[in-house]
Amino acid sequence: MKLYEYAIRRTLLLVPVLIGVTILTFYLSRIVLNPLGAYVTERTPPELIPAIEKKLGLDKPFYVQYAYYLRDLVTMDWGWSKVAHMPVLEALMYRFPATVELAVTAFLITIALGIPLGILSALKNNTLIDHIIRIIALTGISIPVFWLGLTLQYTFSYWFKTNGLPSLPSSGRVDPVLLQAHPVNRITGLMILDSLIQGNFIVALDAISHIILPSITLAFLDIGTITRVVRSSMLEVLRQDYITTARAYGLPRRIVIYKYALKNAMIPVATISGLMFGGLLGGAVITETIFAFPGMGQLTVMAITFNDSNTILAFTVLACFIYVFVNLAVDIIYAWLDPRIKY
Amino acid sequence: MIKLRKVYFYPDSKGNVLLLGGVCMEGVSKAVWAVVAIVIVLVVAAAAIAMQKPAAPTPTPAPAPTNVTPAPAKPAVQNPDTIIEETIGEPDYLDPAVDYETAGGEVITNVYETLTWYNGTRADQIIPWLAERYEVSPDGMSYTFYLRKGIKFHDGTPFNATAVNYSLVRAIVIADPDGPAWMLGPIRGAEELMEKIWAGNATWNDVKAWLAKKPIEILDTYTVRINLDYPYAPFPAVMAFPVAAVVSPSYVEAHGGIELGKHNDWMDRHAEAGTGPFIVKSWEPGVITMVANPNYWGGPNGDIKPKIKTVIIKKVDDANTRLMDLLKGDADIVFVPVTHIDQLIDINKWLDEGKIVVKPDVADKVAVLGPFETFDINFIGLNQKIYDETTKKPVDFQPFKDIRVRQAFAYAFDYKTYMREVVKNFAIQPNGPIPKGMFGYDPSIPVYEYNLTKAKELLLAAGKDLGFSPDNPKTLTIYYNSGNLAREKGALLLASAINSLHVGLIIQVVPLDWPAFLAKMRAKALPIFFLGWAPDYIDPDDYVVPFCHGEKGTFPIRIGFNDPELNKLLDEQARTLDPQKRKEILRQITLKVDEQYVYIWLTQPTAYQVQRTWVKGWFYNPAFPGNYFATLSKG
Repeated sequence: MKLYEYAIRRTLLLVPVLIGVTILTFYLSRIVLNPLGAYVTERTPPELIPAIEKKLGLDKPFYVQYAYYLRDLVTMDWGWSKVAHMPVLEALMYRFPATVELAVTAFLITIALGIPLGILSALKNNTLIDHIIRIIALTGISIPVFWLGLTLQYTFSYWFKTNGLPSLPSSGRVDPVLLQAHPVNRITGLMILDSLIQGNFIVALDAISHIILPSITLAFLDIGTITRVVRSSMLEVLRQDYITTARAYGLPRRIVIYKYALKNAMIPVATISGLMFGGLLGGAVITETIFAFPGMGQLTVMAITFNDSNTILAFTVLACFIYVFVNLAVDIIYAWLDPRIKY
Repeated sequence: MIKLRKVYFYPDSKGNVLLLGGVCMEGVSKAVWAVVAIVIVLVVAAAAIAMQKPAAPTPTPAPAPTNVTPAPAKPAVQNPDTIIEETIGEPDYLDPAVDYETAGGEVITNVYETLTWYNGTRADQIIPWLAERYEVSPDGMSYTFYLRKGIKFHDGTPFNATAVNYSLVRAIVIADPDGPAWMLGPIRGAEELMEKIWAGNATWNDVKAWLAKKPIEILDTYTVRINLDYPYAPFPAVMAFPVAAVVSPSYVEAHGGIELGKHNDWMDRHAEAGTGPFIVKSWEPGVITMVANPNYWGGPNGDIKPKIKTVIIKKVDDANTRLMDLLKGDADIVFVPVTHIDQLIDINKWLDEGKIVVKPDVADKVAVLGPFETFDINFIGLNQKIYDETTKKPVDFQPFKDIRVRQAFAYAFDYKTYMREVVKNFAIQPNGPIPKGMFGYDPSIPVYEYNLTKAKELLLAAGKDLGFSPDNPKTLTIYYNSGNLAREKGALLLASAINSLHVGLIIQVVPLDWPAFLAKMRAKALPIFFLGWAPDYIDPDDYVVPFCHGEKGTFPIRIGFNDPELNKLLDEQARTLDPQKRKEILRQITLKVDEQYVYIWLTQPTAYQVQRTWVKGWFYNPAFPGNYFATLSKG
């Protein structure tokens, strides 16, 4: 089978996966939560509640409600998001780019630091450098995100500023005052990209300064994980016979490591980082809350708190899409990394 | 070469264990342990710095030896033309016809205006605003508003009687059942029409038939008369609520017009065609930007001119982030919950002396204004006719039918402890359904007292008739909506007090999620419940009717309370236009409902405002849903 056939098959597989996910989440949202909760408040007159139930189709049997839901899902009518105060789809279109921006930045930082540290750690196996890197990795894995976020925020945003040092912003995606003076049109929804395309470097710089702290907070945990995976995978590969052979042929060490060893060592790394990226795209609840970053995580937590089943369902479906596609991408990368893999 | 060999071909297998830190530590040298120690010390040190109160790094100037305190160095004003507010809520909608919560209300009251509004800090004085004056007919059935001339909407459309008519008709025709449109019900035929729309069987012909009844008459370009179905004293207060705000008709028509029983999606998200001092420039998730209206007409005295150019309202969920932004000057006004206020004020001074004193190390930056009484009332409802949720029939044991039990419960609540420990004294104890500061509040009416001895006597006596005694105990359940800490603690306080009396009543406390709570409440199955009430229009009618009217009220139906005599008084107060007479009726209502111990009045919360010291011109009016930015300046 060709790679593209495999890709198509995997994409088609998405349909049963999605149906399974929607049945499960829809069922849970109807059983665990009362979907009415999103539509009634302390002020709703009780007499009106039957009418609201009727309007939402809650008086119908479960399978009918699910059929309605599937129809709306396909026709892109994802309902009203109570917490975002706009249609769910529109809310996702606003929120998702912010999450993508944060996820990509955090992911780039993770890869840029995690892989070289892992390689270094493997090459300097059991030396002082290796131990230090491993301690850093362990720290990264162990530090609670909220603590790291608050500490970074306190140090680089508050303490630096109150001591007259150049500081980073503590909340938001961009300075609204600056944006007011230098407006940016919405093209992709990615603030940094949009402002760069429009040559608005002031806003681009400001947006970058806003994303530094939250993305470092997010990246820190993943750096530790990636470092550990790269290290052990690299050590594993370096013990293989073909590396010995390559060395025996007298190939320079650099070539052996970076051309032959690294590529093979990257296979488990691709799996882990794919999952990580998927996780990042799902939104980072705590980080987004601390830094008031208007992404998916914030929206979803609000939706869960306020029992907003439309938003929860939409988020679940979106997260499912993301995971399936990220996994597909990982599989394709496998084939590139290891030509022996056939589909 | 030797080293490489060693590394590549004879690695220590323990070094390869994936993600298991403990195992990797084996066989490490002393140098490594030293590094570990240093890292731990660094982490702990960083933690120690971070855990300090945000204000710590700026050392306070030591008081001079003489008694003259040196003037603290004034921090330079940041963003002098902009007010940045950081808070937790975000509007539902920006359309005054449908929005019914305070986050949207704050934006709306800065963009749109009403024919009547409040006189500065006074919530009990309603003055003509967009109207120059108004008259009420002797029978109280029609109000004539004489409009101000020369006012323009933000889009340039002139403000006149047509616009007033259009806006009121619009709110009634949209008739959002969850919105504030019901308040316009007293307008002739409006309630009937809205009920038809809510039932889902109204057409434009019904609207035409309604308009033919002349609910609103345009007498000339600047005179409009509103006719009512019955005399209704709170009407000027209703006209001050955003639902009666005047919007630009040509703007609405250019953006989707009016649809019967449906929101206008554009108006839900935009607010740029009112007459108010600000215009919403953008609403991105979590950030609302408003700019000053350079042509603002100036208010009734012509003295309101927005001094700042931009207002930014940011949603920042984390209280620590908001505090940090305030202290470093990136935010001017922030919401600080009671749980965090001790970072800014001397909490003991507040609890013991009732004085809000900002801590000296932040006093040059932060001002905490208050306390101000809000118009919220938190109360406990005692159900006089408890139903079973499944059988939908009244249960056998009905303790609250007996006034002695209700009275005993009112005696058993430790108001002082609740105030101090739970709400940190940011509340006062109400003496009835009408909050302090509202028209009709009578300070001479006493509040309920805490007296366990009397509670015990009453319960022992009542137990003989109701069939409970220490040997034959009965159980009652207090429900509250889970997550509400103040209600949870209040419920536990009441339960432990009653349980400690050993009179044969065992009180359990059970949390329910909101829909379950509501379902039980609708089924009248809550024996005892904690709830709060916040005002719609600022008039006692919006308290005494929901609390006391056995037929029209929100709560009496749910607790099986109906007193025909009281109902008569309630109808009478709504029709009485003479303020003195009305006040007397309201007093009688309060006394009547208090002496029957229908509710236990718990708290009327007090608010405080946290802002930078450089923010000037702020004032409090409990009727305002949020900040009124037009009078603010920085410097």
